[in-house]
Amino acid sequence: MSATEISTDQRTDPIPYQTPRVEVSETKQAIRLSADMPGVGPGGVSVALDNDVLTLEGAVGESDKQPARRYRRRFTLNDAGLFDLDNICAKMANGVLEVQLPKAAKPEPRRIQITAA
Amino acid sequence: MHIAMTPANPFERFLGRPWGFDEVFDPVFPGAPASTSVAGFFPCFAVDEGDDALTIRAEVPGVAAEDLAVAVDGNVLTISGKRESTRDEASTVQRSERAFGSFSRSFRLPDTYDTESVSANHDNGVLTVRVTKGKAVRPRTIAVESN
Repeated sequence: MSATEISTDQRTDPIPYQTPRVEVSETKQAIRLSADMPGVGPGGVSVALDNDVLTLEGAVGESDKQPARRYRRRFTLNDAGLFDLDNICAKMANGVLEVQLPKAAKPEPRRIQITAA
Repeated sequence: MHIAMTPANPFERFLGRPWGFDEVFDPVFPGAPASTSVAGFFPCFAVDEGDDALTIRAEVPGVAAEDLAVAVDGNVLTISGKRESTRDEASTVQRSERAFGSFSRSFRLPDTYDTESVSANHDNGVLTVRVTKGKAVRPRTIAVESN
């Protein structure tokens, strides 16, 4: 098939990812990420953590109201150990994805028992 | 068309703060530079003219329904609203790409549209406004009466 035969009405390439705009803010307890993904509902969003890479994704299918769209943005956590990764939470409302990354509590100082050999 | 802009230093740390982020996989950046605030909220609009209706879509994520207004004055349609930050007052901002504030866009509708028929729907951060074409403008046959 030569290059000139490519049909423009058959879209076989996947929908390109758009980069959502984010706001990153920090309190003593947590880091908060807000990402704009207009059109995406709670069922179309995913938040994944793989080692130290956090991936935010959103998708909305084509409808009579709007074309299909995909969003994706990845972040690398500088030091994953600073966060309480088990308690990451996310919510999606009104086209905005909010992810909370709580900071890990500082471990209490403790004494280590010395056992006699 | 995608404009790819890579950050100057992909491993840039946020001013040495221990809780910062590095963005490694982020080749496409569609707007303002990452570390500065964006002044003014300018939602994206899309206007589609169909066979019997005009559809205007405004991307307004994070705008509450009660902060949106759609008004018609004569044949001018105005979509306005405001987005307020929900950020904790006590927090510090590490990266700010989302803008806040008021916006207003007006559209002058051609006479072919029936301004009485404007409807608006708000879902998942998208406001969709629809105006149908007036019946009088659509092709119609006129009965001829003979005396």
